[in-house]
Amino acid sequence: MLIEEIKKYVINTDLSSTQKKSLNYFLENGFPTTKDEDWKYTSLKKVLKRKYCLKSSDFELNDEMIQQYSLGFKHKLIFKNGKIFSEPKISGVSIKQTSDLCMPKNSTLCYLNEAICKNTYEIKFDKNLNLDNPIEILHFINNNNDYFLQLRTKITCGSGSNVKLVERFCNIGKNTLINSCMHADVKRNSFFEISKLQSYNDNTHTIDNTLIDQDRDSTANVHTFSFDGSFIRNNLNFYQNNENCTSNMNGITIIDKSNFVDHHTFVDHKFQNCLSNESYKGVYFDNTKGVFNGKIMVRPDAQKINAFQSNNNLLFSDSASIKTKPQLEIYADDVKCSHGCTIGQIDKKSLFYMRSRGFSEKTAKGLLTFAFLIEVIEKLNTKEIVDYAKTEIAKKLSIEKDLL
Amino acid sequence: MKIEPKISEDILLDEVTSKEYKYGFTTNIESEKIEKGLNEDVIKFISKKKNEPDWMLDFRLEAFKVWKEMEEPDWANINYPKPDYQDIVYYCAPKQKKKLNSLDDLDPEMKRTFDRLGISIDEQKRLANVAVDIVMDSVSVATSFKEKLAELGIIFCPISEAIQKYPELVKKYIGTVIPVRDNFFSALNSAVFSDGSFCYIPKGTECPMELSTYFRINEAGTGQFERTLVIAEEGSYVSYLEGCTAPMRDENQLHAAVVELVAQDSAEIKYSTVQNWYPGDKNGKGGVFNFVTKRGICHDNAKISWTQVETGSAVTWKYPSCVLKGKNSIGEFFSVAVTNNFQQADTGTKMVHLGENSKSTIIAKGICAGKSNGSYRGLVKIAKGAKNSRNFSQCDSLLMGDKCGSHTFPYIEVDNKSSKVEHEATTSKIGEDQLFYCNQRGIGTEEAVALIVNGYCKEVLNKLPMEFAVEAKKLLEISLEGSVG
Amino acid sequence: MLEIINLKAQIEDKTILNGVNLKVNKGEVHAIMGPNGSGKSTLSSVIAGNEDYEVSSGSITYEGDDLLEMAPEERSHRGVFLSFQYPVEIPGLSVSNFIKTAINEKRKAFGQENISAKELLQLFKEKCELLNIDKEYLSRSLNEGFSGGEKKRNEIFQMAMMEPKLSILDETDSGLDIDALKIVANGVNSLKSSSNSIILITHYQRLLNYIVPDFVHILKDGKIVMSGDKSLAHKLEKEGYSFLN
Ligand SMILES: Nc1ncnc2c1ncn2[C@@H]1O[C@H](COP(=O)(O)OP(=O)(O)O)[C@@H](O)[C@H]1O
Ligand SMILES: [Mg+2]
Repeated sequence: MLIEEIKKYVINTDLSSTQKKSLNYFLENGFPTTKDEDWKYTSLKKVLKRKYCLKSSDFELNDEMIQQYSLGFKHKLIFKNGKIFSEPKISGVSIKQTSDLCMPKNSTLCYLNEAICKNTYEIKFDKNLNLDNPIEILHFINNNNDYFLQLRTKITCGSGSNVKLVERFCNIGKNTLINSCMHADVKRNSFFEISKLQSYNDNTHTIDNTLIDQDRDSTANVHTFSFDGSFIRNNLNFYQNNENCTSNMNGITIIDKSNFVDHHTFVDHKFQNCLSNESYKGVYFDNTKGVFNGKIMVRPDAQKINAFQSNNNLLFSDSASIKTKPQLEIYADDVKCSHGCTIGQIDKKSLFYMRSRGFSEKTAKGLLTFAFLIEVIEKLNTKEIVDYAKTEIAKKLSIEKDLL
Repeated sequence: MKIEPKISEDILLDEVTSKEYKYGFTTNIESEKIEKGLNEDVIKFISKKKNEPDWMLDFRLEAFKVWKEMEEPDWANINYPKPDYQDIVYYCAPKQKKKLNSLDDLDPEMKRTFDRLGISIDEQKRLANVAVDIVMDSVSVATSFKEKLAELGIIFCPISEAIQKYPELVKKYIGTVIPVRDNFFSALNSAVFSDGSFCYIPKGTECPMELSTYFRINEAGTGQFERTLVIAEEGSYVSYLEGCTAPMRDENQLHAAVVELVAQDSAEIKYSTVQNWYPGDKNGKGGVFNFVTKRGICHDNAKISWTQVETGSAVTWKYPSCVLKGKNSIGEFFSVAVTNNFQQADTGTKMVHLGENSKSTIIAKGICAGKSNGSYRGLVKIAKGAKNSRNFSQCDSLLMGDKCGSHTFPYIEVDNKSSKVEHEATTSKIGEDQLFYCNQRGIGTEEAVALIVNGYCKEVLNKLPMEFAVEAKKLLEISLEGSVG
Repeated sequence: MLEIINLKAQIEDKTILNGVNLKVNKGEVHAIMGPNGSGKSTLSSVIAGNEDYEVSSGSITYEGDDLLEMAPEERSHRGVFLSFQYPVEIPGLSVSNFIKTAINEKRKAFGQENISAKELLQLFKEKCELLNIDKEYLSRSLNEGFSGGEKKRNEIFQMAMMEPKLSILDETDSGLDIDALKIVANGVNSLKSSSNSIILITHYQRLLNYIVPDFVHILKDGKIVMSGDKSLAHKLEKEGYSFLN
């Protein structure tokens, strides 16, 4: 159905030759299904059943709305249904729209995105630029019909630059399926960080593809907070293309109702003396379902690699479930890799201890859960984000934020 | 190595030995072979040869139907030329290997391995198929064991014999733990299995000795599509040893065995395997493809533990599993898998928790050397009803040399909140500093590697029955010979 | 027993030993002191035969033979023992099994029979008493989870078991409390004889109160810059390395 819609849509559009190729690739292979190993636990069937349109309709966006959704960062880059609405003026930062941009892909959805995304942006950070404040990327979405939105951004961090981004979404319209592709090219000795604040509303389904290419001596950090949204699939890939790269991934997932979150991460260690560190924590209430698949690849001759991965989960409901697959593929010998993964509950003894000291069960549980998450929170270095995380966590655990 | 068999048997043994005498060690077996290929007629022929009842033939034919519709899996992390299933001979009468006149005729490399394993001369002769009359001794020893087992009501015999003598038992259980359609290889095995072992432990009985196929003289030649069924009735216990530490040369390229275990309420089955099929030469030529399906079902309070030391085969695809159906049931998996040269192994386990309070432990140790690839692939599944279940898994890999690969694919699926699952995995290498430390204490590099490897595998080796463990250690050393320095 | 002449050694093109000369006779105790990074551990590693270090020139003669020609295990069989500054952990390998193997490898090298269980047990008992070691510890994994002091004591225990001719103790005293130090020193003293020699590498004069050296050398920037008797150690303790400048 959606495929038909896509076919109809492209008839009236001018596609470049790469776009045509990508479209054909997509049409040949279609949307991923549970037969694909990478989508074994994640079915798009229900999500794709709706009758989405691909055309956006206009809506009014005012300062008040922006204020309401912003975390108050100085620099804001604001999108309206995927089109830039306003951009910050920062010297050393250039933002421009392009029509035809080839980017690396990790699933057929990236091909689709490449073929049909109208609003493709390139954001460039100059060499040695030291961004004093993070740039807050705010997406406002509102459409008259159920909507299939494509987002496409390429980020280039010039060598020696220091860049922090924060990304947040606000959907005030109908059902929306977001297919977002972001490619970051992190040049030599630069530092790139993006925090993805995934507090979508119930009408929003997201497939987020973030691919990061790293050059020598660079560091890339991605923090992903998944709190709301009926369907979230994150594909996060790091490609270490030279020596001495560091890749850090942190994730906090707390979901309730019937929401679904799937984190697929992949770190490709191709060169020597590199490091990756991954820590994902999840808390699952109600009828939620969580999926985690972390793959670490160490290529032949990529010696002296340290790769650490952990995935810890708390299940708070008998109707919640979690599927996790931490995966190591190692083809070099002088490496130190480990992964750990746990699924369990709050320790009963600690809970009892706190209650016997007069804590209510809710508070005790909340604090213990927060303690479980603290390791990830401690890795955050932006005040606004720590604040955001605490607010959302407190809400989910129904405890006062001041307690955290 | 003990010379005396732990347990042996049996009618076939008598048959084989007496035949040998009769024909002066040369049997004309050609007439007993059928044409290559697999079709219904071949299956009917096999069944008829074995004088099987109709239900057994039907079971085979049904399996064949299923198999024809299945595709050979290729998701495992291994590469090998897919066998041509129409190019295999599916029935051979118990095959006589070429007899050697003395151990001097033995392949010197093989002889050396025997010596290093510490296998006695007599045993060497038997394994290498040198004509010996020690077999006659085994018969008498075997008989006394057999009597003792019979007294307790324990049945231990080839499955072909069990089909004749205890059809109700076989019919009741065969294919219940591993359904015919479970996978490509189990379907194939169900259609064409040659022979294997059957073991039945009655209610409340503790089997007083370790049952071992190793000492079964009729082992040779049943290899290719082996079928094993072990049934432990309520409250019984049995320890079962399978395999052999001596190198097994075999012309059969493909091995697809099926092993089913049934542990009734409060029963315990310990199943230990040492697998040392021919791994191919240093250049990756030849070697056995080993595709095994092993699974056990645990009823209330029952326990199954799988222990395995895998050093052989060119390609191994094997996941001994436990279905923890009963309350408080326990599943264990302890494994050492060594790959060297061009070997590929994709092994692991599946623990499926269905019953409340069920527990499972997985300790998997992989050692990769040379240009080999070793993968751990495991599934821990906790179903909704399996309240308060627990799993602990630890998968470690030790790498030796920079041309090998090690992979870990643990699938973990949890559907209830009261359960607890922990998984840990590490990958590391034998460190230069460890080796130098040993060198400084006068321990040469090879010896040092053996010491370190044994230390690394200790948790698993300790689970093996005593004499098996000693051999397994030596086997590890031999398998890793020349892989460092 | 040991003669080092103009030894130069490097690692990855970085020269660490820059012409060391040292002669150790039978029955002598030599102390080597020197600031951190001066090359003390490198010298002991080179004597023991660690292949990470490349000997670019010079010679080491041991009992009249070229030591540099020998594999590390051969040096060990010939009686060279190094107590490591940082002993290595080997998970799953017990102390007793490790030592047994070491003894038997040496015996094998000389065409001797393996040590009998009885003899070995007797030896374990004797040496455990000497070093005040609980026998239970023999079944623990080698150095795994040992405290710093336990590791060092384990090194001396191995030395006692293996009865080397030339022992090099690389900062065996560092990190030991005074009681442990006394035990270790007693152990070493009781192993000392007119037919074996000891090289003590240390930072602290304290050890030398218990094991009295015949000679004290100071290693700096990969060279022995000063030699003397035990009074040199006292001077060093009082004035620090600055007096060398
Ligand atoms: N494996 C090595 N790789 C690189 N440099 C080394 C290595 N080992 C020692 N060094 C360097 O050699 C010098 C001497 O070290 P070492 O022999 O350990 O000194 P000491 O034992 O006297 O403190 C130091 O500068 C140290 O950094
Ligand atoms: Mg030192």
